Amino acid sequence: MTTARSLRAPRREHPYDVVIVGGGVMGAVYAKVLAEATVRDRRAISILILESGRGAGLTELGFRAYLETYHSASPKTPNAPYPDIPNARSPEDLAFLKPPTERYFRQDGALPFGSNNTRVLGGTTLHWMGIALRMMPSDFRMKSLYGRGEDWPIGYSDLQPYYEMAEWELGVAATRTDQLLVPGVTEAEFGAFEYPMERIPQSYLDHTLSRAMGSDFEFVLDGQPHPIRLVPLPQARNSTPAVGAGDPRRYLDPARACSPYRPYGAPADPATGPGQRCEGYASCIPICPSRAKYTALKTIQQLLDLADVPGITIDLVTKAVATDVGIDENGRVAHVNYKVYEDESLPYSENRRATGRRFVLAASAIENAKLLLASRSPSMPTGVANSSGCVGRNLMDHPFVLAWGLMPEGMELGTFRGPGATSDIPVRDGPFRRKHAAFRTDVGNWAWGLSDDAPSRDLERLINPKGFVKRYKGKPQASLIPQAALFGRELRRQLRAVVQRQIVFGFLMEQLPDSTNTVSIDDRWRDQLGVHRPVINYDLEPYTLAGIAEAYRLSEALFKRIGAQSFTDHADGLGQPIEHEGQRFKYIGAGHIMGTHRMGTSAQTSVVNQCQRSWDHENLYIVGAGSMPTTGTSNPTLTGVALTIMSAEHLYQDLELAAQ
Amino acid sequence: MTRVPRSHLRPAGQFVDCDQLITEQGYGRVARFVEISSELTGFSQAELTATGLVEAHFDEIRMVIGPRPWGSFLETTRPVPELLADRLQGPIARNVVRLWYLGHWQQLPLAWVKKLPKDWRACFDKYGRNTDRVVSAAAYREGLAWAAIGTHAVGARQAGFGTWEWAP
Repeated sequence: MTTARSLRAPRREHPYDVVIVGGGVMGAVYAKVLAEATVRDRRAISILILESGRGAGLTELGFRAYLETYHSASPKTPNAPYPDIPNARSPEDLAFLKPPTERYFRQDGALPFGSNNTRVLGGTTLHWMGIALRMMPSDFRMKSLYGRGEDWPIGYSDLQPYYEMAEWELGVAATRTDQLLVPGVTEAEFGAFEYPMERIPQSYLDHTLSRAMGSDFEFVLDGQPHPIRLVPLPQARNSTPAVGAGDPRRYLDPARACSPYRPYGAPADPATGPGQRCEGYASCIPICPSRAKYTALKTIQQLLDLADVPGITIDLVTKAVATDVGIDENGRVAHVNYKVYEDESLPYSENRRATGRRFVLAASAIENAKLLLASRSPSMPTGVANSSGCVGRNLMDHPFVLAWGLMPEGMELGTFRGPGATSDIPVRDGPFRRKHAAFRTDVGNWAWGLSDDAPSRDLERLINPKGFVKRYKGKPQASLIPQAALFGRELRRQLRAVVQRQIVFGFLMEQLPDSTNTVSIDDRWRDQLGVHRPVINYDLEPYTLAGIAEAYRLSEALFKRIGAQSFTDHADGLGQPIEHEGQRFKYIGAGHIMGTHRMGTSAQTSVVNQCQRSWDHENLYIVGAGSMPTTGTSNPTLTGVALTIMSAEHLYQDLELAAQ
Repeated sequence: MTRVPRSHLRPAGQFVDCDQLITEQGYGRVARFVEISSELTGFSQAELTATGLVEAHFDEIRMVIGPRPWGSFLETTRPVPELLADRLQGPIARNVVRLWYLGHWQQLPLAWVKKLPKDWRACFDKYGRNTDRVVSAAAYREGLAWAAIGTHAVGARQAGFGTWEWAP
């Protein structure tokens, strides 16, 4: 059986075994685990995936169009290559750049929520960086260990086998021994596991900074010294398959497992498959031209291939916006209503209904919560799956703060080459977490691109110094502008001299759950199809703000240690201004949307159980980073995928599929 | 993005055939454009020509500012520092650099337009292109800033696996 690349309508009238809302990484991996397990057990399954956005990226031409759009875009923000279509709008890239009236998110809180997702087939993994860190064991026990946040209903050891499977599913390049260098990680946590691919090489910049820092650098946090070192980052990006590594994915039929790992490349492009290695385009965010970076399009391509296996039906319907979830008299989900549109701009759609035995919401933390809340009815006035009142609450991010500086004259770091960050400075765990947020640190390979719009602004300063005199008065930045406008060979030389010395540290801050940080709906705020837009209330708590202050203190110590001059400018830089004990900072979002349908141990205080199943509706599963009770400091996609695989295994066992 | 309103550009009742003027000013001055571009950017005429964008950039500027200011810019023989300091020519010269370095056009403000002689203004921004923007995907990909820095246009060229570990 062959499956169309993207269907305009499901092919079945009768119920599917599983209906999945969302064609991003969580939905795609969920479907893959179910389908592979079905193949393994020689059974039959039918799966429907609903995607609100377009499916263009699956074809080579469509992907090329994304790339062309990116090249001509200004500014080159994370969603710049991808269509923001009126019938399924994506949230703005940086909440600070657009006037409030033009935003998709309605922001009513004290501070703007700075992160977004991408509503298109493949979802936000199209623009993610690809960093695939596991959480620390202590991250699961914040309440017991530090009296902060919540404990998870599961521990690290419960999730460990799923982390291993997730790392093989996404194709993570890393070396086990590197990860043991993270302060707080012990050998026991990794066991004998090997990553599927060898580490992505650290950058010349990393090596230079590492040498300048030395191996004995310590920084005092809450009275205790914390080792400061550069550790290579695990990345979901093709390198070289590791020799001897064995496939841990137990949902695969042994004949379909791949040891060593088989990297995937461009979907639907036989010319570049098997997967090409990272070529160093230096544009992971927002688009990887070589397709070495994992995106959910790779998994979706595998799904479409799986649909050729007898017994496997996978229907993928794009331009299908789920609007509400219907509950029957027994408290089970009976259907998902959705709107399909043909033209992306005209406010015209048709109403459809998907029926099934099991339902999985995998539409991102914000859209999942919105959909549940919008499913309210007279019998469920607060929405579906919301007897706890927790749906939409505890919205979290890793507030992202930047510190930037210049290495001494004459030095060259090799900026704007390779992935955005190849190393981390982990300050991810310690007794200081009683007092303030932990954080990790992207050591940036792309100069002051994010913090100061390099190389555009560097060029501007050199060709139009007069335009900066007033702005830089009394600031270290004044030293960056020449006496007179430069041109010719001197311009060329100076541009290199400054951009080659630029370093940037990006701190990803832990944030605690706070029930007043919410996603909600309001009948006044809808998109042109009449579907609710998310209404967001967001603020930062003193725990995170105190952590930000410590991160900046560390950045100043780091600059001093490596002989760099700090140019961090909290007044002029990118982001939303905030204050903590008289100090001013700025933050942006990390794109890590978490916490809106938290998992827990009781139906009173959480939305889903440890298998991501709704406490209220036994055939409803709600997956993704929205299930995370706390944020830790790891970029959440890998954890979300591990939880998704765990959930899919559970659902599969619960399905009792007929033999083929 | 605020546009420079057209009411400021065209004196009432006066008809100027801009298309005709733009067409008449052919590619005769392209050689001079490459020469000035080379002086401004620090890249050789051969390097500029190799981008394949000489005519595209020439047209881009001509279409935005109109044939007369462009002609006057190309006719000038003043040394570059004087050119850059000039209130009319300086902003054009900087946009020449921006185009070559980043493929970027920066909007010329109303204040600049008002300094143009009245009969030059009629053909200013005839095609509504005077906005901050990357002029084309190709102009971005060929941007010389990246070569100046010692790398490649990000997302448009690749150096090969692991090259970022080597000295620049």
